[in-house]
Amino acid sequence: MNSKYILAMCFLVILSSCNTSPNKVTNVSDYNDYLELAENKNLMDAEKEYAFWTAKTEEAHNPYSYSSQIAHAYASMFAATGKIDYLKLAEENLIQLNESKNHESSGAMKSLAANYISQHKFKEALQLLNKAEMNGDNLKGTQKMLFDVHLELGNYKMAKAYLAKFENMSDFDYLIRLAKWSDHIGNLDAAITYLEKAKTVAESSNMKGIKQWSYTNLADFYGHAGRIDDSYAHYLMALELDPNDAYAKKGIAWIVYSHEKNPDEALRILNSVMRDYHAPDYYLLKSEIHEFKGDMAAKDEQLALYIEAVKNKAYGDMYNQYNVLLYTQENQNLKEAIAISKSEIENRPTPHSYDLLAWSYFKNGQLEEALNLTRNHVLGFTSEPLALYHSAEILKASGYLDEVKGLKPDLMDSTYELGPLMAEKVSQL
Amino acid sequence: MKFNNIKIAAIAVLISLTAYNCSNDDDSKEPSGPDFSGNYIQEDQMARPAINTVFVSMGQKDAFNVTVPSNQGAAYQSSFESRLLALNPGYTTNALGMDAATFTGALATDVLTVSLDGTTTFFDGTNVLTGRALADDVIDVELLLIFGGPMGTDNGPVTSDHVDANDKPFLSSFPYLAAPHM
Repeated sequence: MNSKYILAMCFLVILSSCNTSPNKVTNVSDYNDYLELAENKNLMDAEKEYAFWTAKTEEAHNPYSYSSQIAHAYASMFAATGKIDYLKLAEENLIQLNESKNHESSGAMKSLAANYISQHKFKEALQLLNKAEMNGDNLKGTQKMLFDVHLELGNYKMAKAYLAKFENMSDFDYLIRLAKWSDHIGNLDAAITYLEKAKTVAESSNMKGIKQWSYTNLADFYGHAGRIDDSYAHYLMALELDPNDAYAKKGIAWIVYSHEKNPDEALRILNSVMRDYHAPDYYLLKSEIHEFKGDMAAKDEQLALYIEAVKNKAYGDMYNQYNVLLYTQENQNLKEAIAISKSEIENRPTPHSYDLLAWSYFKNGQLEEALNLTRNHVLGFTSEPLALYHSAEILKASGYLDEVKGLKPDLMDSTYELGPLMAEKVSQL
Repeated sequence: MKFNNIKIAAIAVLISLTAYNCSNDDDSKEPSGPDFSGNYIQEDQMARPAINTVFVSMGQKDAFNVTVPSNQGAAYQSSFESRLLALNPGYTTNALGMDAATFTGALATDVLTVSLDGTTTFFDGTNVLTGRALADDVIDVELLLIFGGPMGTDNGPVTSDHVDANDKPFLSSFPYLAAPHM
């Protein structure tokens, strides 16, 4: 064979090796089967589990013998459907369990704390975990949850102190929390490195739950880093393990919408997810995509569905942040947006909560209050793109154009994460 | 021949360039996998059912779980004894004739004993702790020894958990355990 020919071939290989089309990442045939599932296997398994333990309860001497197992079945139903009522039923059973154990069993308290974390009742969770920590059994497990809750509550010093207590670079639980912490302090590269290590641990122990968790969370981080191909690949890996994984499908819908600008396909994916999965924020996502298409009637229809859904008192504080973002986006109920943001700061004084209040003040024409909050609690305290965008708008309105210029490059890098509608606003900064 | 070597070398270089081209994580300083070197450590331990659960206090559980059995007797006998007397303040001896110190000394070393040439049973009326068969009612035996007094007749209401069989029959061949509920 002619050597020049071989060399030419090799160059072709180099050129084509990374030459995927810049925008098209997804392929319908990769995921379409997951959209056309006849049944929700996770829900059916949870229902079987529920039926089994309730039958046992009827035979049991003590009516609370299996409260823990029944609560677990309800929590699985919540995970499979997004229906809040299941999470509340799980809570009810866990409260009974704690009463039957005289509020002294660490395991029961931690199960209830985990339920409260899902409900964003972080202060209640903290109380339970503090008590479990005093009990002292399975202390590292308790400390891991205490890290989670302190991080959510904005008690960063406490979170960091707890993180150090269970340091172990071969432990999945430690690595994912180190990744979370790295992301919190704005070091996304480190966060990805640690999560990749956690993924390796999960794969070597071959446990489905933690593998799936590491795939979807890595997919998110890859997305933040602009690595859309890797992000997509990991959502697909999660779906291979669990074809009903709503979160992974939503992730793919976001790639199709935000990166490929194909709103119709994104909506098709979301509609299929929403046959089984009913979390209200999916309506918000759909409304945004309709707005991107310019279909304002469909947008309003989805907003109305969202507003109807979150009227359910059972959601408690879970949708506070979404509501503030919605009110500020639509320039309505701004007084209520301010009130909710204040209560969020009361509950969890994080940069994110302060950002919501600053943004609500800004939308309500209270520029000075907005700027003060931004300067004292947001800028330099978080690298979250939405908060930085809000800060940039507030700085711009206050005349600090040089600072806006400084923020803009990072924001331009985050347009995939922010979505096309927000990207348009960023470009106008 | 010489030219062929050049060709092969060129291909090798190009392939490695191609591979490098697509690799995003060359600057990662962390080792790529978890570190499984070193010695395994003990994380948990349970021999006789429910003994660790009932007799080890919450604050001592993590430590008990990583104590090797040969050290458990010395480290935990006295706290087991206080726990026993808290559970049953009227304890004198049990059906095995053990006083509180002897009994808790035996319990604190949390191992399953087995007789290699005798009947395998937790307790069958004659043999004591010569092993454990699947259908042995271990919890009832333990409750009886804790609460039943010297004749095994005291405190009737708390000497049985009233669970007298598995909810599915055991198998007569390996793996002997019943199939899990699916």
